[in-house]
This record gives sequence, C-alpha cells and structure tokens, in this order.
Amino acid sequence: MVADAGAYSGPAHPAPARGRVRLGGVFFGLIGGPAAWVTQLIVNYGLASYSCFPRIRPSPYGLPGWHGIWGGLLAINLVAVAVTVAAAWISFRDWHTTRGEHPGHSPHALDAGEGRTRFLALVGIMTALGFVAAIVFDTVALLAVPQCPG
Amino acid sequence: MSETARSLPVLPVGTPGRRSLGWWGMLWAIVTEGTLFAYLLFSYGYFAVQLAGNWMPRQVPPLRLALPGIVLLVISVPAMWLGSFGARRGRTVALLIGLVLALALGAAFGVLQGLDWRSEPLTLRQGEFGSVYYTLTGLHLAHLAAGLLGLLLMLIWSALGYFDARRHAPVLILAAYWYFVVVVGVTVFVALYVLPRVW
Amino acid sequence: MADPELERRPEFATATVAYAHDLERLWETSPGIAGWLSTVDHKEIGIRYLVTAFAFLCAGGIEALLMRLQLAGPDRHVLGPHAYDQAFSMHGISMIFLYAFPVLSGFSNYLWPLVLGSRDMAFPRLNALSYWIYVAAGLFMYAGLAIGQAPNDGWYNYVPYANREYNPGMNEDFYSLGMIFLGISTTVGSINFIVTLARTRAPGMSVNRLPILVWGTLTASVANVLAVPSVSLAFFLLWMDRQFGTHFFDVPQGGQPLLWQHLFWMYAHPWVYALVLPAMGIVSDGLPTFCRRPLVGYAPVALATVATMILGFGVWVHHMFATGIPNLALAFFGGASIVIAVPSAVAVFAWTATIWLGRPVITTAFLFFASMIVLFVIGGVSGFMTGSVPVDWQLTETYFVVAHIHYVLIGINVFPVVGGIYYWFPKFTGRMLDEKLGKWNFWTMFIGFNVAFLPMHLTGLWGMPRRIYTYSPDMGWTTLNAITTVGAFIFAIGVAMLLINVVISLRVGRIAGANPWDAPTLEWSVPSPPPPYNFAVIPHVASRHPLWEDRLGESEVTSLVTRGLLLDHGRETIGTSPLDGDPDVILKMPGDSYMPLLLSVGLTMGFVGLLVHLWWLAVAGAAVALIAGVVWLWPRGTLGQRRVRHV
Repeated sequence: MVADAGAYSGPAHPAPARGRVRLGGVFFGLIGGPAAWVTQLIVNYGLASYSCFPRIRPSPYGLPGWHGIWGGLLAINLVAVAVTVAAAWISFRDWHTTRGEHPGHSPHALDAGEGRTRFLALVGIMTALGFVAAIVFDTVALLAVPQCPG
Repeated sequence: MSETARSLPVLPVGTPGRRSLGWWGMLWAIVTEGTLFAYLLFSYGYFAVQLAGNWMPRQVPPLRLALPGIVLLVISVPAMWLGSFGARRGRTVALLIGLVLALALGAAFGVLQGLDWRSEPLTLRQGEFGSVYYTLTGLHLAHLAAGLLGLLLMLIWSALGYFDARRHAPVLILAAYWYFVVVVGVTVFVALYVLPRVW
Repeated sequence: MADPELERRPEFATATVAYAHDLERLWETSPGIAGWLSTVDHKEIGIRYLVTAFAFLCAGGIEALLMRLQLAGPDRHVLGPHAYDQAFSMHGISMIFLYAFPVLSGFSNYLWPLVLGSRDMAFPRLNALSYWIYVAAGLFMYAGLAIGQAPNDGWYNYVPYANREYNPGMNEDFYSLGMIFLGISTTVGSINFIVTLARTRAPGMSVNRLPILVWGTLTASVANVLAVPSVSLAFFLLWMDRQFGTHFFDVPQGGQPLLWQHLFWMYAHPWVYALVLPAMGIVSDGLPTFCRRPLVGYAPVALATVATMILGFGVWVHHMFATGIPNLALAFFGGASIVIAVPSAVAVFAWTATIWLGRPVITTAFLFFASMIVLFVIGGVSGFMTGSVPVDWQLTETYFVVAHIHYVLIGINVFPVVGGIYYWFPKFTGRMLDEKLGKWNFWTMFIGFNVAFLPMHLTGLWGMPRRIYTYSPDMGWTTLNAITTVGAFIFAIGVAMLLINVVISLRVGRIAGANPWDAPTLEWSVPSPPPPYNFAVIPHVASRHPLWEDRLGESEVTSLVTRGLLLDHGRETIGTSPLDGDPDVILKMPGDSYMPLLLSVGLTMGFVGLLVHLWWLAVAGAAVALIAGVVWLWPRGTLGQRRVRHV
C-alpha cells in the first residue's frame, strides 16, 4: 500500500473505541469535578465573608438574618460532592466500556499507553476522585472553624 | 490489527473556514478579552457589596440614549449573520449588505454612547461609580472601535472580490469577534443601566 | 481533480535531496540584518527568548548581589533605603516577569514544533511579535531604573503605597504601563501555544501520545489567557487612579485596597504555577532519557500538571491571610492550599520511581533534574506550612517566605532550566556542552543555593521581616545573613560557569549528531541544529516514544519518521484534529515579515507617549501599530486567504 506513490496510509486510528462513548460524557467526566470545586469555593467564600464582614466594619457575631448560612454552605458542598461523584461514575462507565481499546499493551493501567478513549476516561476518574478530596478538605474547614469570631 | 491502515482523504488547503488557524486564535482571543470584562465586572460587584447603598450617584445613568443604542447594537447581529451567510454561500451582494448594515448599526451605537457620555452629569472622578462607569463603557467602546475597523476592512476586501464560497475565513473570524462585542455591550448595559434601577 | 490550491491529497514518500533543497529555499530566512529583523522561524525566536531571559537573569542577579552586600552585616551602607526599595522591586520584576516565564517560552518556542512534528508554530508572525514586545516591555521597565525611578513597591505593588499620594514619582507609572505592555506579549504567546498544540501536531499524535513536555506549557498558557487580564486590569486601574484621578484604590474616597490584592493575586498565584509547570515538564521529559526508561505514570503526571493549575486558581487568598478576611472564608483557601500538595506529591513520586526503576546515567543534566526533586520537596513543605492559616500569621512577611519562594522558583525553575540547557544545547547548536565543567557548574550552584537559602528559613523564624534595608546588630540575625551572602556569591559563580561553558562549547564543543542522548521524542529525529523546515516529510506518530518503539514493544504498529507527507507547494504544514491528531487541512504558513517588529515599535511609541503624557506620540504610535496590523492581516493569495484568478 505504501509503495503506491501518492497514496498515503498511516497506522491505525489512535482511538478505535471512540464511537462507543459519548464525547459530552467524556468532557463532563473531565470538567465536572473541577467546575463543582471552583464553584463551591468561590460561592462559599463570598457568603462566608459577607456574613461576618459586611461592608466596611466587621460584624463579629454574624449579620442578622444570616445565621442559617452555615447550613447553606454545607448544602452547597454536598451538591458539589454529588456532581463530582457523578463525573467519576460516568468516567468509570466509559473506562469500563473502552478498557479493551488496544488489548495486550501497556499492562499498567496508570501508564495507559495506547487508546485515547480509555486514556481520557481514566484521567476523568482520577480527576473526579481528586476533586472529591479537595471539596472534602473545604468541608472539614466548615466543620472545624467557627464562622465569624476572629 | 483489528483496524487496517487508513488512507488519507483529499484535504482542503489554506484557510478553509473554521478549520483555519485564525478562527481558533480568535476563539481564544475572545476568551481572554471576555475574562478582562469579567474581572472588571467583579470589581464593580466588589464595590457594590463593600460600599452598599452609598456609592450610587443621585441620578442613575439615564436610558434616553443608552436604550436605543443597545437596541441598534443587538440588531447588528442579524446583519452580521447575513454577511457571513453571504460569504459562506459565495453571494457577494448579501455579504456586502450585511457588512454595511452591521457597520452602520455599530457606528450608530458608538455615536449614541458618545452623546450619552456628553449628556451624563456623572464624571470620571465622581466616586467609585463614576470611575467604574467610564472605565467599563470606555473599554467596551475600544473593543467596538476595533470591530468597526475590522468591518471597514472587510467591506473593502469584499468589494475587491477577495472572498468566495471557499475562501472567506476572515469574514467568519470577524463575525465571531463582532458577536462577542455585542454580548459584552448587552452585559455592560445590564450592569450599568438596569441593575442600579432594580436595586 | 479540483484546483490543487483549494484541495489535494498530500503525497506520501521519502524525501529526496532535490526535494529537501526546495524546502530549504522555501523556508530559509534571508541572510544579514534584513533576515534578522524579519525572521519568524520559531527556532531563531526561541533562542532569542533564551538569551534575552538570561540577560534579565543576570541583571536581576546583580540586583540580588547588591542587596546581599547591603544585608551581609548590620548597619551597612552599600544601598540607601530608596535604592534598596528599587533593587528588591526590580529583582522581583526581573526574575518573575522577565526571566522565569520568558525562559520557558524560549524552550517551548524552540521545541514545540519539533516535538509535535510540525514545521512552525501555528502563528509564526505572532510568535515574533510576542518576542519583540517582551524585549520592549522589559527595556521599558528598566528605563525607569536608568533614570533612578524604577518601580519601588515590590513586585506585588500594594496600594495605597503605590498611589500617587504616597509615591509621586514616575516609578509606578513605569511599572503599571510596563506590565500592561508585557501582558500583550504573554497573551499572544499563550494563544499561539494553545492553537499550536490543538491544531498543528503530527498525524496520529492523539492526546494520550503527547510528549510529556508539552503538558506544562499548555496548562500554563491556558492559565495565562484566563489570568493575565486580571493583572493588566489592576495596573490599568492603578494608572488611571494615578493619572486621571479615578478612585478605584483611593481610600478616603471609598477606594478598596483589598481589591488590588484580589486582582493581583488572582493573577499572580496562577502565574507562579506558570513559572514552574513547564519546568516540571522539562524534568518529566529529560529525566526518563537519562534513566533509560519511560516516565513512570504518564497519565497521573499529565493530570497532576493540569490539576495543580486548576487548584492554583483557587488559592489566591492565601496571600491575603493577614488582611482581616473572616476566618471561615480563609479556611476554605487554607484547605485548597493544602490539598494542592497531592498533585505535587504525585509528580515527585513519579520522578523518584522513574529513577528507582531505571538505570540512571549520571550526566550534568541528570544532576540538575534530580536535584530539582529535592529542592521541590523542601520548597513544597515550606509552602504547605504557610498554607495553614495560623502558621501563616506567624511566618508571613518574614524571611521564611523569602526562603520558600526561592526554593520554589530557583529549585523548580532555574535548576530544570539549566538542566534543559545541558540537555538541548546539542540540538540548538550541534555541539555538546562540556561535561566536566558541567559537573563543577552543578555542584557550585547546588551548594551555593543551599548555603544561601536553607539558613534563611531560620532567619525568618527568628523574626527578620522582608524588605527591610538594614537591621541592628543586636537582633541576632548577623551570622545567618553573612552565611546567606556567601552562599549567594557562590551561586552566582555557578551561574557564571554555565555562561563560560556555553561560550567555550559553542566553539570547541564535541559534535553532537542528531540524537546524542539516545532520547525517544521527535526533536531528536532531525539533524542538530535542525534545518529551517524542521521535518522534510511530516512524520506519522504511533506512540508516545517514536524513537524507542523497537525496544519498548508498546505498539504493534510503528511510527513513520523518514517516510511521510510531502508538502512543498510553498510553506506548508499539516493541520490535525485536537483529540486524535487526524489530518484535516493542509495549512499555508506565512513567511518572514517586518510587520511584527513594526507593530512592536508602534506600541512602544504608544506606551512611551502615555508614560510621559506626550499624547501626539501615543497617537502616532497607535497609527504605526494600526498600519502594521492592516498590512499584516491583508488577505494573501499565497496563504489561501483570498481568491486568486488563474491565468
């Protein structure tokens, strides 16, 4: 085939299993965790700051009417964890579907040498699990640090 | 191997529409310029929260000139779309009409914004709101000016017959930028003219 | 078949001598001053970036040595307080903005098209523009030093110190406008890297086959696109406050000093990662070559790079722990700052495992790469400590933080960069650097660095504040400061050894050949130095290590390096799809052009006009820039941008 001048033939496609997963799912698996993490961080930061330090003067016992905010912050964190776990699950499903892409090579899953589809799925699983940990770290702060007094 | 070797298809050459590198570069330029406005709007919100009620001028910016201006700017979107549609189909007349309309509508918005500045009692040095108001509208006008200049160039190039159904990437790239300018314009309008009224 | 200028099927073959000769003629830069001013060759631009960045490193280093002379003992008078303020500000600006990032851009500019199997960056002229603006902005800021009015409020430049009321000179105007100017260079450079990676890779190079080198610069580039506007805006607002009486940071009028800190650190924390992630990429790429095995854990290391940057966007408030923001809000950022240790640890374990499981060859480059792991751990641990809010309250604004930032920036930037010079110098020049002098170079730098900065942790714990220009003899800091000064000079001698080695080896170094280290990636498949067109035929990639396939046996198919796509209808390269590297367009690449230089000249005129309030000069500069831009963008038939009538 190669000998045929003018014709081109390259090696096989790097992602033969790409048709077996939805691209949108792959992307959600990759960005769901980081997006949830950054949202909870910024929203919680804004709410937690404002409830104790509205405008120019601090309010050491919290702003009137804002005492229930702690529960709200916790709820935001739980939603963020749920989104991230969903991203992990979708990535896991994709990985399970495509784990046989290029069978027989690169026995170590973490090296994920060949197969672009399963590579992205594996990276998605690791990303989401890592960001679950990151959100939990912020939730620990919520449980351990008093809301307003300095 | 499960898959046999693949042979290469016939490939387009040069700058075919959205496969052109310029299109990709423009997308990222829009991302970074959009982020610039996001940081400025963040600063606006920061002042609003920190200074609460006592930072608005006695009279919020009037809608008399701003509202017609923003309506004209929004109408320039279908005009620009007509232009890029004409470019994609190789219809030079539609392309030219679209570009002329978009240019006229965008310029009208710019003129109205300038008149608004002149009639506005607010000044640049009048508190935080004045500073934010002129910086935000000014940065948007600068982006608008770049867009108008692009439209003018595109009009010249189209009139010279540079573009056809296969060669028109510059039109699509400019259109993407123009839509961005309009979206920012609407956002700025909402931030400076609408929100102070509903608060 | 239709018009070959609109579409065609590329030929597939081996390069002949005549064909290579044609390519040479198509791609070479014309000789002499004309070529020098107009070239868009990424290799030439990359080398210029490296040389210029090292010049700024030397300038910043001299400022550092002056400060160390001043602090060597108590009550010394080498520099007065005003000169000292300018020295530490220019030291920070030089190292952080004018050396650490541009030097990495230099490596990436030179190497990316070579490791990706392409013939140039996606936007060659933009690449030249990025370089010229970088030089102009650097000189712009140094012009302040030349007239004794350099920036003098530190690189973080806090208001209200930087407001006109407290700092009426031109110092801060040089800094404000200079940073906006430099931001243009960083932004266009970053967009160029992103599009290059997304669109101009060798066919077959899917995202899982990317050389590990590129992940760091890709991540940093995306971060820059999102972060640079923040600092450009902050400096623009400051300049408006200073020149036009706006009130963004003007406290009596309701201005918000903390807004400055937010805008600055939202940019500057991601920027610190932009200074180290590409350098970590250099280590991840070079270390395996000397360990004679692939990097352990490609996927986790690539992911750790990206994850560090994402987390890096959510830790900016840890620079503001002592500003009075409520505790719970701080604690969220403390949590993020501590969790960022996880991806860093992943990379450290991957590098260590690569050495452990490999058969290391102890070259100078290897020593620089391996020592970086040690320095990174020390700098990482001190950063982890200050990530905790109460510990930071104790340590912030002391020399402990100075020690931390130097372990991070010298440890993870300078050491990998020097290692990278030893590794790629043969590719850049065709000659090897001297290994014997190299070993001396390494040990001098390594010992000097640790003598200077390890005791500095203690200086900080004993309470010495940053940025003071002298101290009294009864503070108990005298001995530690003397040791640090000695170490700083030893380190400087080490850097001088590198420069001497480069100068000598350029003339008499051993001839390298295409692949002196027997390395696995595509840049080593072309001659040293590479021809102007990089690859005679566009290679086709079937794995992560195209040159090690026969020994690794990872893939049944092999990459095609000597046989590939012939593209010679003008300057051409292949465009590929972002995820899988499927060819989808034959790209026409622009030739040399004066427009990037002219545009930079126009912008320089503009910024000088704004600085000194010569409005006609600013307008003239804008007009020059505009003309250059229009000529640049004018559609060309040779680039396939417009219709051409065939005769």
